[in-house]
Order: sequence, then C-alpha cells, then structure tokens
Amino acid sequence: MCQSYGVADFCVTSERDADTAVLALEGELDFATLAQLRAAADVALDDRTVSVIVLDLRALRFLDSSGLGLWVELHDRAARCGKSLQLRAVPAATQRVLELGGLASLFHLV
Amino acid sequence: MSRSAWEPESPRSGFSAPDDDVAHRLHQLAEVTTELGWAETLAEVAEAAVGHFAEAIRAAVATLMVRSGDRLEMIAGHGLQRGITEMWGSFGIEHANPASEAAREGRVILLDDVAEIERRYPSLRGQMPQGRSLVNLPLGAGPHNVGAIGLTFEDGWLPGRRELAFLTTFAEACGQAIRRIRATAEATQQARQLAFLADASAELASSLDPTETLGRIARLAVPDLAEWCAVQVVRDGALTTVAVAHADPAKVEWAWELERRYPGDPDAPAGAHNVFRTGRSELYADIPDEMLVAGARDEEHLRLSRELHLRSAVIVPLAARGRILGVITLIRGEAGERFGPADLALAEDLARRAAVSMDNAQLHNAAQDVAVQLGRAVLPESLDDVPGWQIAVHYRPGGQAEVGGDFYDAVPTPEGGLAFFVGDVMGHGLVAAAAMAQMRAALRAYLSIDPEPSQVMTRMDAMFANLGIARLVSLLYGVIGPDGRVRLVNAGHHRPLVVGIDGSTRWITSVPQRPLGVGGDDRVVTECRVAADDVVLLFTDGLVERRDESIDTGLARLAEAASGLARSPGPGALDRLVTQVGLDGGEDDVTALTLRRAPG
Repeated sequence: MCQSYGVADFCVTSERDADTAVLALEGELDFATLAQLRAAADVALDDRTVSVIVLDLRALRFLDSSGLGLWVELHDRAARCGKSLQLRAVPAATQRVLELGGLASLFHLV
Repeated sequence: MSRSAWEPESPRSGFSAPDDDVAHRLHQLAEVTTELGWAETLAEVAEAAVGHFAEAIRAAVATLMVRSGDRLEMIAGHGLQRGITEMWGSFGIEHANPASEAAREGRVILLDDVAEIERRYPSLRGQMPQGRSLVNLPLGAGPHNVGAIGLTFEDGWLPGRRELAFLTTFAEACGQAIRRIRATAEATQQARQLAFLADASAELASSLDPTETLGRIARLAVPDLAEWCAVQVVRDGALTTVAVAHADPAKVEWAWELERRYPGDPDAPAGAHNVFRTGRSELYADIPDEMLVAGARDEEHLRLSRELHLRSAVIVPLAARGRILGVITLIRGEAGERFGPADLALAEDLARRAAVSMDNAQLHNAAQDVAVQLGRAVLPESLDDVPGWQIAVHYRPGGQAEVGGDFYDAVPTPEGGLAFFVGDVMGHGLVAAAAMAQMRAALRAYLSIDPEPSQVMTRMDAMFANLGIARLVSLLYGVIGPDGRVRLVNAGHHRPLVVGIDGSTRWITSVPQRPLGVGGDDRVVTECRVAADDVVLLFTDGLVERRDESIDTGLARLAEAASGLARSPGPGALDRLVTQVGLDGGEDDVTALTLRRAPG
C-alpha cells in the first residue's frame, strides 16, 4: 500500500513485520514532502505494539537538510517512547550526507 | 578621568568591580545580549536594555529610544528624575541632543564633562548633575539605525576600548532585535495574508461553486470591518450580487430581497455601478436621509432602505491586473462608527487580496518578498570593513514560500584576527528565519566574551540544552589569527575551502561533529594554517546541493570553479562563482563568504 498524498515525487509505503514497522521511502524527501513521512511515522510511533521502526532507504533518491532534521526528530521521539529507529539500505549518497552532516554516528544503520 | 570597569586596579566606582567579579560581570552582560536574541516584543527588548543591561553596568540612568519616522520615542527609561520622561518622551531626530546625534550619525557619543555637555547640547542645561558622564550608543548604523541607548554614570566613568566594544555589540544586538521583531511582525502579517490568498486561490480553483467562495470573502469582513457586506461580480456583462453577509443573519434575506426588487442602475452617478465603471473607491462617512430619498425608486423602496438603518458605507473595486472584476460594498448601521480613511484603506486591501486571489501568478512574488525582507532585516548585506581583512559575502534567500535559515557573520577579534561563522537552521518557514536571527545574536554575544571556538561552541551547546531547542542547526565557527592560524569547530556544516594564490584548492577537513540541537557530542577544535594570500571560502547547502547528483559532485564542481577566486577575491568574483555553480532559481538559501588577509 502506497500512501501517496498527491505529491508525485515522494511516496512512503508502510509494512508491518511482527514488532517492526518498515517505512519504505521512495523518491525525494525534502521540505515539500516531509509531511508524508511524518504522517506515516506518527502512526508507527503511536502504535504500542511496534518496538522497531525501520526507514528503508533503498529507493530514496534525494534528501535535504529538512528531511535530515525530521529523521533526527523521529530518532528522538522513538527513543523517548522506548522504540528504536533504524536506517536500512542506506544509499551511498545519503551516507555521504549523513557523514558530512556529522550525523552518521547518531543513527543505527542496518 | 576615564577608567576601566573590569580592571582590578580601577578605583571604587559604580561600575568598578573586584577581580573575581570580572568574569561574572562579562557573563551577565553576555546573558543579557543573548536574551535579546530571544526577545519577541519591544517590551522584552526594553526590559533587557534598560533593566538588566543598566543593572549589569551600573548605569545611573538608562533610556531606550526608538526611531519612528523622523522622531525618536523613548520607549523605556531607568533611573530618570521626575518630569524627564514627559520632557524627552518624543523628540526630533535633527534635535541637538546626544541621543538624536548618536542615532542620526550612527556613532557613539562619550562625554564626561558636564560643562562641555551643556555647551554642546543646550537643551540638557540643568538636567545633568555634576560629575556625571554620558554614553550614547546608536542602535545600528546608516539606514539600519533604529534608535539609540542613552546612559549616564554617576562618577564620570567612561568605557575603555574593550568595554566599548562590548557596549557597541550590545547596542547593535538591540537594533537587530528591534528590526527582527518589526520584520517578523510584518512577515507574519504578510504570511497570514499569503495563507488567506493561498486558501482563497485554492478554493476558487477547486470550488465548483464560486458563489460559495465569494460568500466566504464577504463573511471575512463581517462583523470586524462592517455590519453588512455585499459582493458583486460581473456575470454576462452585468454587475450581479453573488454574496451578502450581515452581522444579523435575519437581515441577509432582507438585503437580498431589496436587491432583487430594486436592481441597481448601471448608469447611476454614484454607488456600486459607478465604482465598477470607474474603478475608484467611494467613501460615505455619513449616509444622510436625502441620499436614500435620491436613490429610492418609489415609496416602498425608500421605506425598505430606511429600515436598514444605514449609517456609513464604503464601496471598493475588485481589481486585478487592470481589470475590474466586481465591487465589494461595506455598510455600517446606526450602532456602528463612521467609516474613515483607514477603513477605506483596509477595505481596499481586502478587495485587492480577494481579487488577486483569483490570480495565482502574483502569489509567488509576494512569498519571495517575505523571505527577502526577513533575511535582509537580520543579516548584514555587506560585512563591516575590518582593517586588515578582505571580506566578501553573497546571500540570496530561498525561493517559493519557504523562508530559509542561513546565517553568517565575520567579526574582528581583539588580537587583530577574525571570528567567523556560517550556519543553517534546518527547515524552512518563519520559525526557521526567526531562529537564524537568534543564532546570530547568541554567537555574537558569546564570541565577544571569548572568541575561542571551544568556548563559543560549549556555550552554544549549553544554550540549546538549557532552552530545550529542538531545532537542528549546522554551524561552522572559527577564528583566523593575523598569523594565519585557523582554529575551528564544524558542527555538521560544510567544510571550508581554501584557495591558494596559484588557484589550487584544499578542504579544511575536521572530525565530523553533530549539528547543534542533537546533543551528545564532545566538540573537537581543528587547527590549521593558511597563507597570507589564501582565500577561505565558507558556504551553505544551496551552493552545492542538487537533486540529481551526489553531494560530492557538487563539492567537486565548487572546488574546481573556486580556483578563479585566487586573484580577485572581491564581491564581483564571488557573485560570478555563485552564478557559475549555483542553481538558477533554486529553492534553498545560498550563502557564500570569502575571507582573506589584506595585502601589505
């Protein structure tokens, strides 16, 4: 199921595997599209049966600083409610953005 | 006569301090300066400026005067004798007094001889007790000046070089805060208008029933602006009433009925049709009975018109790009006040917005203006001339409706070096833009206590932790000494690029550090050296980030193009570099800054 909010460049697909919520990000995550990720993440953060939230980045083509800011916000919120946030299949370009932004050590990369 | 407040050998005075108090006093002043960065109202600025600040420096009298047109208005005073506030509540910018002079000429006024003060400013005669000294600080220079701070000290104290630097920084921060508060208020107002426009445009575009949309526009005006509002638009060449709103819903039907039975005369010399024909507004402060009589078709019409108890009316055109789309009529009944010129202006504004909302093309221009306006209010367009340094800056706020959060500055250090910073508040919108102003104010305050990077970063991290700031901010902060020694901390920002005189380029690489607002990182200071003719280039995302490529590609492109800065590091070359590598009409802020020691 792809939860598209009418913006063509970005799409979040939510899947559930036991206590893990996998949010697959596809396309360009920026200021214009981050509300979609926030909406999908809110559902997972509110769900008490979820203990791990995975952002699957295989199909992420672009990430700007506001998207990065949202990941940090989600990381903090997950930690506060006893969940963990993981980044899966981080593309090389995203890895560079994390490194240059000094945030590679903050996230749990799988 | 002048003495230093923070040196232990200074004699006892209202402003002197024992040695162990010096650090505390500096901190107190830095805190007050930082406080300004967070002030959201003029009252908070006043509290910081004449309350906390005056207390920290032990001034006998402190006043804050803010410019309003060609006058200075005293908005706060501390320690004033009775009657002074009344006498100096408001005075001309051209008047011969130290505050006007400081504001007008953008310079600090220091005087410690009462006879001299009275000679220069006869209007102060008899107002200064013997032995007093006087310090007046402009709130910003040139076109950016927004007023002055006036201080007097009981024992003739005048600030030394270091203290004066601090006082000037404080006054500038005050001016910044006032400009930011004004710009934020204006930008918020504009943003509200934009939101209205965007909503209205969306409704007009999506609604299958434009009558419903115009009805909402009519209801916006009632009851705040008028008791009764009618919207008429052109339908098949004729002016047709499409919406009526009344503070008393029962009267809405009444108004429709009147309209149906007595449609307006297209050739009437006054009223809605005339406004429609001419495009000129009409204001009727009073609607005399004779006017009703003149306009009535018959006895019944006159009776119905009288029953509406009209008092005052405004009719404005719905005009967009030279076309008259319709008219809005606003009416107040007997219970209301008369319409005046201010109401007319407001009604015209409402009509303009309603009309423009049908015209999407103008939206983006207006949104861009908000970004530019706020950016200009809080960021220096060009950096001060710093002796011994060549500094160039290029700043362009982002496009669309998204105000970005880039900030930057370069400030001389007491040792003849340069403290510099470039940062980016992640995210967009007015909140990010206000945050950038806070970052700049805090950094300037902290670096004036001690520009050492580890000190400044520790204080910034503590500020984020103490205030619970959830926003992510990348920051590159550093100091270059006159000997070319660079010490910097890079908190999640782009590395600086060094361009040698031969056109070679190299990055100043440091341990990756987390942005401000994430926490849990020890700050590591990176040290290196640059040659006398090296150019140091600082920048933000907007210069190197493109959607269709890796960030490394953008960085490599910049490094290659930047070799051109080697020979001419001035603003022209920097602008060319930005044009060469930047995105045309990109949505992000673009900031680039070059620093080089001046030759000789």
